[in-house]
Amino acid sequence: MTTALPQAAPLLAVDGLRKTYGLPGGGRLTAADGITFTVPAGGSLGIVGESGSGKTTVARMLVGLVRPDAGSISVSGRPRAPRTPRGREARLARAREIQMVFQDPYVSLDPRLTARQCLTTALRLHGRATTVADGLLDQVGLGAREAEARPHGLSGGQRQRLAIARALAVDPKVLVLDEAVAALDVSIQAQILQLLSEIRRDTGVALVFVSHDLAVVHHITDEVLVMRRGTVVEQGPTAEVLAGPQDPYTRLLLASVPRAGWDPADAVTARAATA
Amino acid sequence: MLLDIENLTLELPGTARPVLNGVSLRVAGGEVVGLVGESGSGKSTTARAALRTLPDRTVASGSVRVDGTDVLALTGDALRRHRARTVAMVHQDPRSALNPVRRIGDFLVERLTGTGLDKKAARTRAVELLDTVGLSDPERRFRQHPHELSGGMLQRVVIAGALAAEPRLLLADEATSALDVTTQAEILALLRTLRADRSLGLLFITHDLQLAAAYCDRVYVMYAGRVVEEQPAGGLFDRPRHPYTKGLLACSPTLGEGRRKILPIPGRPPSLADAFGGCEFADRCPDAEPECSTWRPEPVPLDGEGAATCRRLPALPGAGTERRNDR
Ligand SMILES: Nc1ncnc2c1ncn2[C@@H]1O[C@H](COP(=O)(O)OP(=O)(O)O)[C@@H](O)[C@H]1O
Ligand code: SF4
Ligand SMILES: [Mg+2]
Repeated sequence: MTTALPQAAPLLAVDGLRKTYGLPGGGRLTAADGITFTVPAGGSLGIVGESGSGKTTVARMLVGLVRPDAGSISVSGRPRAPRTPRGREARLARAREIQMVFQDPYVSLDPRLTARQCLTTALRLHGRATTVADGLLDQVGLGAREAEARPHGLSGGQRQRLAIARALAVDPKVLVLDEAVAALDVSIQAQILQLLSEIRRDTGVALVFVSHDLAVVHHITDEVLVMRRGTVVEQGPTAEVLAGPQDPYTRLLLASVPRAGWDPADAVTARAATA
Repeated sequence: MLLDIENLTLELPGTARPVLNGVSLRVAGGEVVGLVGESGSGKSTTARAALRTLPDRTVASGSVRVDGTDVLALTGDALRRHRARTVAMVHQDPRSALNPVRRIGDFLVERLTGTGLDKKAARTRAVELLDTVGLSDPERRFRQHPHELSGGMLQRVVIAGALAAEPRLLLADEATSALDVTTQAEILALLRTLRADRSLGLLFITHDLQLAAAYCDRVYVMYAGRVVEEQPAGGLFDRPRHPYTKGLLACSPTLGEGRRKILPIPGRPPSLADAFGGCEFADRCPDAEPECSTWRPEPVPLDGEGAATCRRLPALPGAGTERRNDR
């Protein structure tokens, strides 16, 4: 496991992010609070936790889909404006900082465009040569037939490849993936995980990988944040956190993962140790 | 034998290959049997065959017996009784099984009166069942509506509903897949207790081989409508024999022992539009030989218990997930 070079300025720096929502009966729900981390260029950070723990809120704040109540996000030392800027150039520049891939690419892909058109549209928008499209399709493992297919003519795994290719078309510095492999068959999930490792190695893009699946996070990230009820209960190098969890909640998550010799009753016991 | 499926082949009109192809599978009372495979492999169809809720115009050969009764021959009242009393099914999404505007208790009381209890007895029994499935304050749960409960609590309610008719066989189709891991563990611990207390047979359907191997007594692995491997669960981790089972293990990320490289299986799981002239796994299999594409698949018994549907079985090493060519 490599530790980040001490002097290298972090590519992505997140400090004290908070988001609360007003509750119908008064009072506020803290969806995320005190979220602080950095990711170096080419690094990979995992955010794990159960449903409702605040993972997706953090991901959506990173890309600007949710406005934080407090805290800052900067990419390559430049703070991101809290709102989407007005000018076209500024908007595009912001999109080139962070791109996002969702669990279900179906909703984020235009049903009328073929895979190649989807990419050439994104490339044109960002002033890049549309000839790059074929290279991108090839990079994510989509062939000649898929290039001419529309989203409904692609399998779930192929659609996820296309969503990743479209995000890469923007040439982003950071790729945020929210449960991006959760809905895929195991054999296809493995292909996408391998693809992400290759992309990271070849392009130096940094990954923020949001997932409920500890084994996947173990596989694809260097650092990890464990979230529960909007806060980070534990944070550190993935291998260390998963091998020697300090927080009882992290221990509960680990005890819940099926493996040889596993007894689900152990997880029930571990639950009792958490507040 | 509680559930005994023998050489079951099911064909749907307009498809290139059978949905199920020569499937044989058994579940004894008190046994937890895993059924694993990727989407479209035929897991849910196998469960539907046990309930006989198959699409119209399905052409079936082979047999499905539950407690000795020939399920495919059932009609009328006997079929209704089979579905309402002998076998119960729990699906992935508990919300789809519950009416959002009715109270939890009404859902259970309706199930219970359907088995012949009077209203008052059914009410008492419903509260007992909510307690049995580990819900705190069952009297209060009885009066609550589905939106007031979490997904894990609702799945407990659905399990309580499934137990209402005291079935012999419980079919759980991805019943814990949508739940958080910690909740999944709790539901699995519950199902294990119920199985022991009631000598229920449990057919546990999941896409997660690690989960099935860790939780079940015996596991069947399906691919393209066929059972490709059957083994006592413990053997799957140590000695997977079919190349597809090995591939599934080698491509699943795991915790512990450093970071093992995951080796994807090339290609994609087949659909019903894909026809095969031989072994269905041939074009994704690292061990395939030209003869595999014309071989008529049949299960080959393993040294210990179980079987694997692979013509190269005697020649292939039986030990662990040895490194494969990564294509
Ligand atoms: N009612 C139906 N009509 C047509 N095809 C169906 C029907 N039900 C299931 N199938 C098809 O049968 C195959 C096996 O499905 P299923 O048993 O649901 O697999 P699994 O549960 O392993 O995902 C799939 O290709 C599926 O699309
Ligand atoms: S029969 Fe041939 S192609 Fe099929 S699983 Fe065995 S080795 Fe692979
Ligand atoms: Mg299914």
